[in-house]
Amino acid sequence: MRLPRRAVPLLAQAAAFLLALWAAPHLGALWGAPFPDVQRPVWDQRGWFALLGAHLMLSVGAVVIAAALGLGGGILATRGQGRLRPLLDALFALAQSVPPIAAIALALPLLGFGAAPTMLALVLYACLPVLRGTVAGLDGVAPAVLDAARGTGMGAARVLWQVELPLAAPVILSGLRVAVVLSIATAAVGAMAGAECLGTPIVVGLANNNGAYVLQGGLFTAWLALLADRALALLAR
Amino acid sequence: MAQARPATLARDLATRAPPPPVPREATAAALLAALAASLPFLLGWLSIAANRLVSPRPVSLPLHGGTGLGAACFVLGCLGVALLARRRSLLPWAEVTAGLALLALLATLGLGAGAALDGGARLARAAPGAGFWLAALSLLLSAGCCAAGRDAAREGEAAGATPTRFLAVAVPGIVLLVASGVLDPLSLMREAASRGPELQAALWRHALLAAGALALAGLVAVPLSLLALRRPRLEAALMALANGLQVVPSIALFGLLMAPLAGLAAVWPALRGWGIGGIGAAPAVIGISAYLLLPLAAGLLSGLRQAPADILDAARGQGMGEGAILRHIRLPLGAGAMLGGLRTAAVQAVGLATLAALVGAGGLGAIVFQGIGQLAADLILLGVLPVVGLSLCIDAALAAAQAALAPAGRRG
Repeated sequence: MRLPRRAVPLLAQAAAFLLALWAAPHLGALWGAPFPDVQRPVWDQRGWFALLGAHLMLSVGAVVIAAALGLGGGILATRGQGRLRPLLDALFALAQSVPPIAAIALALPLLGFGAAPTMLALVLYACLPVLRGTVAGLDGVAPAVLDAARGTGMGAARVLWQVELPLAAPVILSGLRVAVVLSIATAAVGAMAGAECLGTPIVVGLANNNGAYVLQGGLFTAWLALLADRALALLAR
Repeated sequence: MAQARPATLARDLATRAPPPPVPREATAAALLAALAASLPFLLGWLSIAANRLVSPRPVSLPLHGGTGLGAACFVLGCLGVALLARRRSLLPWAEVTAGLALLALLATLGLGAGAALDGGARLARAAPGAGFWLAALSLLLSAGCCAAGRDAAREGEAAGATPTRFLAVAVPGIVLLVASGVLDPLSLMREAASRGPELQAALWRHALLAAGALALAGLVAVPLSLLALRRPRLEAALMALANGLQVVPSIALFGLLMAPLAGLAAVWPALRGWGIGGIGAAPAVIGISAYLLLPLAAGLLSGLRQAPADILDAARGQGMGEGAILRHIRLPLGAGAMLGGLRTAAVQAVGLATLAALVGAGGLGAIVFQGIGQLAADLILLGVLPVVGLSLCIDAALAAAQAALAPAGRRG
């Protein structure tokens, strides 16, 4: 497979990101410079690559579950006479008016601390863009196309699989992109609930008044989110 | 009238007029109402812990006296939602009934907790069970379905599913229930009573942080959007910036803002007098407003572009200046879209202000994080429930304003 030319700068950025992660423990002077009062400016409680792995497990795992739920729900909602559509509308409206942070905090008393409540909130919020994309994509298929497909003797399942889903794929993919970026960004908030991820140095730093930890965690979390956004923009083209 | 009625009745009978079609929303609303009615009985209304340290266990509700009456009202309310939703013209009343059912659910919970704790120790704590929370959520969604149907009837398309009427009934009702002391046996209310002034101060602080961030974002977004209207390159830059900021996780942005602000305060100590520093309201308000830039600018620009080109041409032909066009044509026609942007931004501001506590800015988030630190579920809920209530109310109020503006915009 030939590497598309557009992917080269992205791969260079990803390499720079990994290099920075590797170099971070050796750059004490850099992290300590803005914070002369901090005694131990280098984050050394847990390896950066372990945090990155945990962060990706959490957010990608949530997106996989959310994609399955969102795709299935979107297909179900567009079958029949759309009897379940109002439920989806109500769900979208509710999710838009309840912030994800509140959802994570509400899940805490129910699920305990750690990765579980974060995962639940991530799945719930990542589900919505996929669901929205699936419904919009399937709605966008022209009725004439469906008629023609049925006219050639295709069954409902084949119409869905061979006509509707391929035509709706770009819209579904853009929903998936929103879900991935949202999930990576929100997973960092999960550090407050005790989930280990790139947000952990931020939370530890804020608790111990160590601005250098916050700087490192913030930098790498933001960098990862931007990288993921670029990568998915490339895929969607 | 009295003579006309038998005639129409006879005609109806003669032609066997088909009943009005059942709205599409009826199925979903009825399903959710049935779910709401059964969940507390299946999963438990209440959970009771002997004291603060042991984990709570679900208990059955003593279903007699006031509690039984309350539960009956709740089930009847759910049934009413399902039945009323079968007529399009009655959908608003179905939404109102869902609100009444929620109040009956709450009253039942309070009365039941009082009865269940009556013989118990003073240290025992009663908390709502999983069945209660899921029933409340189902009722909220059911009301949303009814609202979606109502809007679809009026607007010709699904304009949204914000349960404005549900909230208009439920919010004053909850305030009355709290004031009447029915809910006092719940541990959440005990927690609220012991932290009354702190909670009130946090609520004001939270609202102030969100409003401050909204004002700051508006100060940046309004002039830039007006300028970007005629300059495509400025618009591209503004939108790229606003979109890029959206990708940065909020917790990381707050953290990253601390370093430069702390540096500024170190170089010019006078700034500290203004409350600007690495810790406190400054990084929080700046950080929150960064995320509001996208909804505000996108709403403003789309609002400013609502006016059709031929109307703008006609106005210019009459000799109207750009300022007059803005005031008399663009603003009235685009008010709905601009309000939509403001709505998204305001809801995000209330949510993000929860994280402000991380950088020492206070607000309801401070109570939430205190609860997380102490592993105290009641304390977390005490902080989160006002955030959820505040964002639901702001969203509904602005949605109502948007709906009121929409026809006016169309007339213009």
